[in-house]
Amino acid sequence: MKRGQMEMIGLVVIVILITLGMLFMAQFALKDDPTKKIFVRKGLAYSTMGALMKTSVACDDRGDDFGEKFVRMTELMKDCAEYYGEPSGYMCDNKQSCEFLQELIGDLLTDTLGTWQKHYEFKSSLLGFGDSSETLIEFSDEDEKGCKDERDTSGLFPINSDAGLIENILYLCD
Amino acid sequence: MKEKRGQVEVTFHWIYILIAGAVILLFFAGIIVKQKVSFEDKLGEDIVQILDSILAGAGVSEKTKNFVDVGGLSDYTFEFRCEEGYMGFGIKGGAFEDLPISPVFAPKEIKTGKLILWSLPYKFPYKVIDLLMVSSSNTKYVVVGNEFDTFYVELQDMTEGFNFEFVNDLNEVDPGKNFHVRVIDLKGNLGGSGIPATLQELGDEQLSAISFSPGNVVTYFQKDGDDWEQGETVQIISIAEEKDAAKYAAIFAGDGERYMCNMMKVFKRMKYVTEVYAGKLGELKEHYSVFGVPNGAICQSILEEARQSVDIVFERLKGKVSACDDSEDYLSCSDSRMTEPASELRELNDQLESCVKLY
Amino acid sequence: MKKNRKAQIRMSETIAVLFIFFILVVFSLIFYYKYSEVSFKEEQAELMGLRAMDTTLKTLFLPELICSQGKAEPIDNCFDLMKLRHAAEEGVFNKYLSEYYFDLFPYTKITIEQLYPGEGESWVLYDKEKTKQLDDGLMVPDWKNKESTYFVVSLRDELNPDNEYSFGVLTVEVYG
Repeated sequence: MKRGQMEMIGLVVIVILITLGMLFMAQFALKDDPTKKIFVRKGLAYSTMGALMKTSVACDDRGDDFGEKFVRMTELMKDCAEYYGEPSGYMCDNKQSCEFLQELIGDLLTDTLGTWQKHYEFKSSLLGFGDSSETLIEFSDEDEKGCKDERDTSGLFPINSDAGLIENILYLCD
Repeated sequence: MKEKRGQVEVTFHWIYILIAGAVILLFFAGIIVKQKVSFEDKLGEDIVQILDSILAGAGVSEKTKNFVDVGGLSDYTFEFRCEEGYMGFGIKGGAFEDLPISPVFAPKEIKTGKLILWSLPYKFPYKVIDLLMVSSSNTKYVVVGNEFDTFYVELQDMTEGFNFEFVNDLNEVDPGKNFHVRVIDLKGNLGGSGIPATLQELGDEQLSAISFSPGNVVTYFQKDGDDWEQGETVQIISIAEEKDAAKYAAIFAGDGERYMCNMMKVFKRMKYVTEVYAGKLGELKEHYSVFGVPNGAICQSILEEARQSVDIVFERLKGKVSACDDSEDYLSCSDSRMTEPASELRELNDQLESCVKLY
Repeated sequence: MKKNRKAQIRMSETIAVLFIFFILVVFSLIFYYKYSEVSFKEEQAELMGLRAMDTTLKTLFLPELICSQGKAEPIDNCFDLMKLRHAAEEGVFNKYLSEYYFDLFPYTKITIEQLYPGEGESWVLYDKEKTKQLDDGLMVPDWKNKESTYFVVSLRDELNPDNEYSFGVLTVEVYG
């Protein structure tokens, strides 16, 4: 009887411990990322692109005898597309517009998204006439990891230029 | 003798086991009951907190309708209160969350598997705050009006997704299995009529009405047996010509008291937003007073020199808004005719075409 | 005598078994308590994160700051510099903190910084740190953790149409 009692109690204790353990593990298995975090990340990608496109830069206008004027990023991008690989219409910080944009966008994204430990990829492509496509500016985070898997996008920010359609996109991931 | 001793021993043994077993069972039962109560309270609080977050998100997504599936909560009755001393929402008889800032226009109670949230900006004449309308798939709105009326046509367009029915005659209405029915009378003749036969089977708390009268005045009614019991009559304070957020808020508000209480939150916010715009106006005046600024003369004239300049009208508006907030009484706000300087400011702002506008 | 002894031994065995059983129950209760404590702390951290995001969303759509165009139509992710300057310099949010803005942004610090172009100007819109007063009257911080959320915004200066938009950052720090 004694042995039987002990064995029964032992079995009960084991069952209780296994049940508790399984409940404990189930809680972790069922947890997932809150949807609010994803919404804010998508919003961040969109707002970053929006802010970039609207920002004005002080440049020298070749068409105005290199007089200084403030130019929007969208105008600079058009200039970069139209004069890719050649002396551009705007010279900013004594640099060709594509070179300047590559540097400025890189710096701004590093100072913001990079500092906040986000991984990102920025790409500006020129869709020329026909099926041709050329990458004007490409930039990813300092780790060069970019965003290959689960990522949020800013959406396409298209700009019409004389050289064709410029597509700008920012990918953001954790 | 030995047999008797054995019998007593066995009996005592069983009694002992029963008592010990009962004590152990009671111990665990006590823990379980306590935990159950605690979990239910926590669940209620979690639900209210999540809903608060949803309301906050919906509140800022202006002009969009959010359809929130709350199927798992269809057994809970949500209550929305706004009265002197308390503003908030929560589970009836359970956890409640304060809403001292956000104006939320909702029926008194909602019990549903699908919430519909709609946010519209209130402009006076600049944007003051978003008004959040809360409804559900089982709250029915029956609109009685003239099909050629501008607002009737606008309602048909704007309320897509809500449970709206447009009828010529209230007797045509089938209440269905809705939790609540709200009659919207655009003709203004509800007061003189009784409750139609098809709606009489509804409980008193399940049927309410709002009647629009000329001059942007609305009157609330509640079912009382076979008749309508007249509630509050409210003057809608708004300068919007179309998509009037204050008008839609009146339609969705539980009753006149809740409507006025939530609108007071709007006027309170208006005071602070107006102060920020006062600062912007100051900077604009300073900018255009500098010699050589393009269009400086025209802009300065509109801003501060004309007889009815932006400056003068803005000061009047600011004074009325401040007095309204200080009074903490909706009727005083409606009596003060705040809409006049607000409309004038809107026209003057439009005149600032070649200048930097106030808003 | 022998039978009594046997009965006593059996009683002791039963008591010993029950004793061990209850010890195991106590261990389980302690384990559950500790687990609840950890779970609670995790939940608090998650709630704080949610609060930070909510506060960021509210700030982005504040009528006191947001840019507008046309018939008072808002421009997303944009702050009007004239309104921002006045709100920050006059301390509108801190001035009306106790009567209004504390309910909107409890223990939070909201900062906006202009990154480009410009000299890195920044404005503190709202700052209410969680503090407590010591016996000697000294106010000291009373928060255990801080959750920061960042967002990129455009800053619009309508008085400068050639250089209308600049690149800015909104920082929301929530105290817990």
